[in-house]
Formats: sequence, C-alpha cells, structure tokens
Amino acid sequence: MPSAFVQKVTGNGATVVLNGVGAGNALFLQDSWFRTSTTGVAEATPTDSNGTFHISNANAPIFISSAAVEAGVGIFDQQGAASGTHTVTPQANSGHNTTLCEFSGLVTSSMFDTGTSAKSVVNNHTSQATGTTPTTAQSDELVLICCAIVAHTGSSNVGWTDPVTTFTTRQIVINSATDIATHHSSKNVAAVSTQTATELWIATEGGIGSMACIATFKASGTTASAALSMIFPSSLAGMGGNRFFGDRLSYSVLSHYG
Amino acid sequence: MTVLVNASVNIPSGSHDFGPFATTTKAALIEMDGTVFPAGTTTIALLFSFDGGTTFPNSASGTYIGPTIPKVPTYRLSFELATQPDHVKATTIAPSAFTTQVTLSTL
Repeated sequence: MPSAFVQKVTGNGATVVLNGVGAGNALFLQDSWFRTSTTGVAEATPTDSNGTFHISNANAPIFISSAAVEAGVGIFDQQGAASGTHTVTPQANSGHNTTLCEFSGLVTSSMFDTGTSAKSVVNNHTSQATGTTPTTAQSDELVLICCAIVAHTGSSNVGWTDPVTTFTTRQIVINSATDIATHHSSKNVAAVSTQTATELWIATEGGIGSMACIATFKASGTTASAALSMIFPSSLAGMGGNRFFGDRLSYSVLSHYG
Repeated sequence: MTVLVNASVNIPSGSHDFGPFATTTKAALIEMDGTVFPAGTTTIALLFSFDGGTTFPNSASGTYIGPTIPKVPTYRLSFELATQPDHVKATTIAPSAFTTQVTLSTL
C-alpha cells in the first residue's frame, strides 16, 4: 500500500509550523541551505516542539571557494508523529529553503530504510545525481530527494528540469543569484530496487556547486523483500506514484546574497 | 497561479488578515520583502476553509525574524493540502507596524 500525501508547508524563516497533524503519520523535512561562515559540518537535526526528528541523510556540504560559501542538503524524518501542532526549527545557517511534509501510510517503527548523497563543484556542470541507495528492504516505499545549487554569480532562473522524472515536486526555487536554487520531490515506489535520481538544469557558471540526496522510507501493509521475491518477480511489480501539485515558486532578482 | 494580492501593504502591529478569498486550488503561497521586517518575531500563516470561509480548520505558519537583513531577501511561506478547500486567507502577527511588498497567490 503506498503512502499518501496529507499536507505540507514550505518556508525560509526561522520555523515552519504544521497544524492538525494526524497521530501516527510521518513527518519529513527536506532542506537546502548555505553558510557564509564555513564550517564543513553537515546540517544539524531540526528540533520539533512535538516530537523528535531523525537524520535520514545529511552529509558534509560543498564549498564554493570563489563565493566563500558552503551549501548542502538534508532529509530528516519523524515516524509515528504525535497529533496536533508541530513547530519545527531547522538549523538557521545563512539561509535555507525548507519543506515539511506529512504523509500517511508509513510504518511507525524502523521507517527509515536507505539514503545517500552526492555533490559537485566542477565548473559549469548542469546535472547532479543523488547517488544510488542500497536495495530497498521492501516493495512499497516513499522516496524523497533534495537538491541545492549555490553559485558565485548565479542566475535568476537556473532552468530546472521539473518535475524530476517520476517524482512529484514539493518545492522548487529557481533563483541561484539571490537564493538557494532548490528542488524537493517525492514519489512512491512499488518494487524492491535500488533508488537514484538525477537533477538537471540549464544555467552554467564557473563558480557553481550542487548537492543532492535521496532517502527511502517503508510504507505499511507491504511484504518484506525476501518474502516478496518468492511471490512476485520484481519485473511484475508496478511503479506507484503520488500525483499532487507541487510549488511553483518564482520571483525576481533583488540583490546578490553575498 | 492566481494572484490574490500584489501590493505594498501597511501591516499593523498584532494580527492582520488578507482575505478570505474563494479558491478551488489546494496550495497557496505568500511572499514578502524580508528586508523591512520589524525587530522581533513576525508570524505569517496560511489558512484553508471548507465551509465558505466561516472557519479555517487547516493552517500552516512560519516565523520570521527582523530587523536583520536576510541573506535571502524574500520571505516566503506556502501551504498545500491533499483535499480541496473553498477559501484561503493569510494572517500576519507582527510585533510592530511595518510596510512591505506582499504577494499572495494560489498555485
């Protein structure tokens, strides 16, 4: 049984708050961020007034030497959430774009399955893979991906390929000149497999850095991979997918963030 | 995208509403010029109604700190539900009055 999207909030302030969260549902925080005071340290786990987040994937950031900034991505999860209001505070850093989603239909213990990340500071690159996860533990899983682009000069529209093939966009920010170009997405899968995705964009620049990550989470009411493979060949297991509207954010260049 | 508000707005101290506006979309976005926010914490909220704008049972919000000039100058908040509402409104709760450019849209 695939997971189901319930609600989401996106923002770039100090906190994001979701009200009316259903008991036992799962919360996911996807974050794209940058720091002008570089530390080389991955993003810290966000705090929640009504629960505790777990690191799904948050690795050491990229460093863009020409801009003297570092940037990164992180995915955090909270299984079996308490009902009510969740006030979530991501690490502030110098700026961040945060997506906080609620999904139903996930297991309430050992929900996190796999995750990985990849990054690049190669001049003029226009793609970033997430890396490839180990094989998922079961067939029905929720997959989240998260990408950030930070550039020395930047572009008012990096030209994301949107949506990422087979994914539903949860937040898109197109500006790398006065913001962190951001792409947060999700999808359901229904077959035991490794998972990967590739983010594509158009804008090229010498001083560019990008980082992407991926994490998978177990849906409830599914059969573990070993048992499933005895019943159904993986080629017969169809691909599922949520199809809800994502953000379509666009705004003008105001000034460089440096 | 339908733009519901796009104007320079005098936001008073305390609570201030934008709307409610009729909508058939499940997502809304509010953007404000973050460089002019007052000292302290300003809350921005988006709320959806399913009874013609009488009550707003579903909401999300964010807090935004002033007067430090943010590295990313536009403050944003979006909210999306899986179910279709019939009205949307935005609310600000500010520590003191200020004037800022506001864009409120349904997506």
